Amino acid sequence: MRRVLVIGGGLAGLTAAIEAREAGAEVALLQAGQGVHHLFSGCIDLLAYPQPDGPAVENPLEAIARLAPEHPYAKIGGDAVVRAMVGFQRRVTEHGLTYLGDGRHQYRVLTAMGTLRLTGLTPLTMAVDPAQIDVVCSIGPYRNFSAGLVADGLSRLTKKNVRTLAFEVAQGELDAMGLAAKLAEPAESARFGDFLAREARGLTVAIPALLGLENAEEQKRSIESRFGGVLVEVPGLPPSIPGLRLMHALRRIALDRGVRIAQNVRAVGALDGGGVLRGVKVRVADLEREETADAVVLATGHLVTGGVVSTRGALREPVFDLPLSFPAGESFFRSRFLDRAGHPALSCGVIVDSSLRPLRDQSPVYENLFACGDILGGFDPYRERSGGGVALSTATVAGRLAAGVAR
Amino acid sequence: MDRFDAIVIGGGITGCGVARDLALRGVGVLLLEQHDLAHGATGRCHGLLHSGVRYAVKDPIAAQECISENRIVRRIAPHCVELTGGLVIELPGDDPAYYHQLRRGCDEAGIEHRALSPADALELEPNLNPRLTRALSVPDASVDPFLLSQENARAAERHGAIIRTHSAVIDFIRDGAAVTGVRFADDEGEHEARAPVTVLAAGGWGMPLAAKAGVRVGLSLSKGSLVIMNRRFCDRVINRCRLPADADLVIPNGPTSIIGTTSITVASPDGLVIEPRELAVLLAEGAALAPGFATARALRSYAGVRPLFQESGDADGRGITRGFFVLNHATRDGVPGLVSIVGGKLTTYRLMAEKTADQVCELLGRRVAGRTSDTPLREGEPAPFYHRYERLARLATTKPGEMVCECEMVPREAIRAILSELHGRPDLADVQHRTRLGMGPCQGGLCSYRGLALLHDEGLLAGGSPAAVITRFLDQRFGGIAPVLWGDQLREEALNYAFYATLFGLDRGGDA
Ligand SMILES: Cc1cc2nc3c(=O)[nH]c(=O)nc-3n(C[C@H](O)[C@H](O)[C@H](O)COP(=O)(O)OP(=O)(O)OC[C@H]3O[C@@H](n4cnc5c(N)ncnc54)[C@H](O)[C@@H]3O)c2cc1C
Ligand SMILES: Cc1cc2nc3c(=O)[nH]c(=O)nc-3n(C[C@H](O)[C@H](O)[C@H](O)COP(=O)(O)OP(=O)(O)OC[C@H]3O[C@@H](n4cnc5c(N)ncnc54)[C@H](O)[C@@H]3O)c2cc1C
Repeated sequence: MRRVLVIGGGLAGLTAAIEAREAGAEVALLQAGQGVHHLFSGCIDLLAYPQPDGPAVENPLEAIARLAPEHPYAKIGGDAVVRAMVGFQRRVTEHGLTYLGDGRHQYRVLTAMGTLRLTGLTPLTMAVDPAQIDVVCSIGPYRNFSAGLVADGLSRLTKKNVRTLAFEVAQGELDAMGLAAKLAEPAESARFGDFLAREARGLTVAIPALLGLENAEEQKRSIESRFGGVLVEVPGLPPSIPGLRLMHALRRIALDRGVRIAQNVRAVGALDGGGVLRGVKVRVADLEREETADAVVLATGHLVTGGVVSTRGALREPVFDLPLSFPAGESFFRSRFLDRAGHPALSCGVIVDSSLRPLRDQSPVYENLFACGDILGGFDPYRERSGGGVALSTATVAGRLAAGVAR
Repeated sequence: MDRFDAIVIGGGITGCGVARDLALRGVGVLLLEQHDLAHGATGRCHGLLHSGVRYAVKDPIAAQECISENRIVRRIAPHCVELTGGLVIELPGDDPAYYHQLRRGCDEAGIEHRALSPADALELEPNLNPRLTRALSVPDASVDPFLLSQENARAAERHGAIIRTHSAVIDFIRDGAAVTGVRFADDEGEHEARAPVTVLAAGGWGMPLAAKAGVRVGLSLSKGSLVIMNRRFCDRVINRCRLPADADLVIPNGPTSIIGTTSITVASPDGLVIEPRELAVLLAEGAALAPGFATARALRSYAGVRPLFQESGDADGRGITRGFFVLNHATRDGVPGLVSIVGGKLTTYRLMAEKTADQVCELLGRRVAGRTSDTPLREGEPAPFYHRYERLARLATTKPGEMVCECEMVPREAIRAILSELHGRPDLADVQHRTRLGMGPCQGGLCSYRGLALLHDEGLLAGGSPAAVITRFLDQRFGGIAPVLWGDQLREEALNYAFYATLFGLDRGGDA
């Protein structure tokens, strides 16, 4: 059996591992640490702002078809994006997570800042038109959510008077994980439902994204049945329960399919077979060893997770020292932090061909190395709001190619 | 409400000190600061409460002033000063004669000093360069310039002074040649205030202001840049044993260390840019003092200007030392009603304020002596602890959910306590200056949100858009981070950008 090694345990790495496995390969996934999923909203963004100065697009797939050729979406094509999306939705549904969206319109999701964000695929628990929300309820004490701030922002956007409520969890556990676990207890969840029945019967209520790690949708339905209204989760600062929920589901799917996952293992270099990779050198604690493979998928993410590292004035891909699409002499960030044009360092990445093989001087560095997710160049996941979508779709392609299946 | 005995222009340490000194003497004071207290050189200085050792060879008078004021400030403001002590270290290549000159200078100025063997010095400060050849212990200390300014302002207010931040003086009111008041602008518009004496304590901004009153105050502006590292390399202030030069001082500041400074002449105190070559010097010289600098993470950098008074042999003999000058513009320039205070150091602010207040009282015809040298800033209260110890003690009783900023241990209560001091439009930076919110390693990543939520919940956003308030704060805070953006700091900012742009959509105004 063909042996595929995936480096990185984020959205891209897990997706590539599952795809390669489903395509018949033997798959090992190595991860040095967590992906960014415990930080992100839980929504899979497809594409909202293709141009720095342009307006938001309302139909992501249509906009994807018009992207410049260096964009990862353009390299794999719109059909591959649709296939990846559908495959993702089907898989996570098996594990009780419903993601809504068809890529042809945007969802508007309310955030803990009281602002709206655009996204392509949204968890069921967030898929409510913000204009429908009547009440914002804090679940406390939780410092990363201010019902007042959210209601204020929402009132400005919808010109509707939005009320606030505060529900105190018994014997207050204080961090997000503790609160979510507490709220998932049947008694506490019932108490919350009854509280809403008294204070907000039949209304649409926004709450911090603290529904359970495991059965969020079931919990939502059971609380809703008690107060006859609708609950909406509002994503905010980390740790992100919706992000962790998604990652638990993907990990379980990978393990069920027989992917071998090794944590705290860092890839540190190539086993160079002259134009082909024989595998990678890895480090576990202080020990170095070799992992051989027939194909390797690089899904190491970006600056936040160490897929790209920096010193004064230089950015580097640390595992294979692959060339990055970063113009020499450019500053990493623009002078304004919240510049709508984004920041040069965040849009740099590995340059690849249409088979997602990293290139040096226009030819593949290794014919059996494929890259996917945030490590790719040619796009800015943060500014464009395309990180989740690019991770899923490029990983789907990379996983299949690594397993030896033609595109 | 628009008539006072004296108006003070500038809310740096000098202006705040003058306001307090005058208020203690019963003079009715209005202080006007264009931005927030400590906006100028004060909030961008090194935070060294000089023992005087730095001047012991070159400038004996300044050295004497420093040691005497150092002792006074420790006594009257114990909560603003961390009694770190200091070391002077000699490295291979430093002129060995300087060490002996320095000891002689210290003896003459009355600065306590004690020689330490290299082994003893390294035992006290294991992160120092192990190649150090000689060391001297001196009574330097670390001072919080923001807190010291605020505490002077608060004490002044308790004695009847009025302190207005976000109020910029735009012109003087004249009666013939005499200055009889000022015109100033805040968010609501323009206002006037009158007083028989106006004190110009506007630091590096003084020259153009003085010109509006028709007087010339010759200042040369020297920019100094500094870098804050996210580790406390040493528990003591570290001086290099050589004539004062670039980047020869490391000062512990809470969990961080500050290395400085450079010295470059500039044309204006606004829009200071930190040049890459300055950073290179600071980091390289820092690594010479403590090798860990080479691999540590730079949190932010900042620059301030020292206004150096350029006229020698000034006619007005009052209170003049080589460090600072009190100028009575009536006798000097024929403009009655205006007094300027220029030059000096944070360490000697109290003495400067006293000399200035003496001059003001003389002009007002009041014979009251100053009493700031033996009046604690927190009069009538038991002597407080150094503020970081107080915070640590508070940790024991603060519920984790009440902590707004973990890096700097700022609970909700500490923020609530200063809300009444905020003037003008809501500004998270004003909260930051008073509580240290967002000054630690995450540089506001998580606590900006929580600080904003608190302002909102306390009704302080007053109909203003929360998104606009936090965007302004995040953009402004980034100014000091941009020059040191590499390694872990770049990683941190990538994450912060993802929170506030990708997740919250603030780069697009948040209205999708
Ligand atoms: C705060 C934040 C909010 C965001 N919000 C959204 C959002 O709401 N919607 C959306 O669609 N996108 C969002 N994004 C972007 C999106 O999360 C990313 O684009 C996407 O998750 C990237 O996935 P990835 O698998 O490529 O990388 P990552 O999730 O970064 O995973 C990289 C993995 O590689 C591992 N790794 C790195 N180097 C090595 C090595 N040498 N050896 C072994 N393993 C290694 C890491 O430990 C990690 O497991 C957000 C991003 C951030 C940071
Ligand atoms: C880089 C550097 C490092 C230093 N390190 C030390 C040190 O470690 N120890 C030490 O003792 N000293 C140090 N100093 C010196 C010390 O910082 C200054 O002497 C002291 O802070 C000066 O205070 P000030 O109030 O006179 O001036 P500033 O702090 O500059 O205050 C002037 C104020 O006037 C305000 N203002 C200006 N124009 C107007 C207007 N039109 N209307 C209203 N307000 C106005 C400004 O906003 C400002 O807040 C350092 C100086 C620099 C530049």
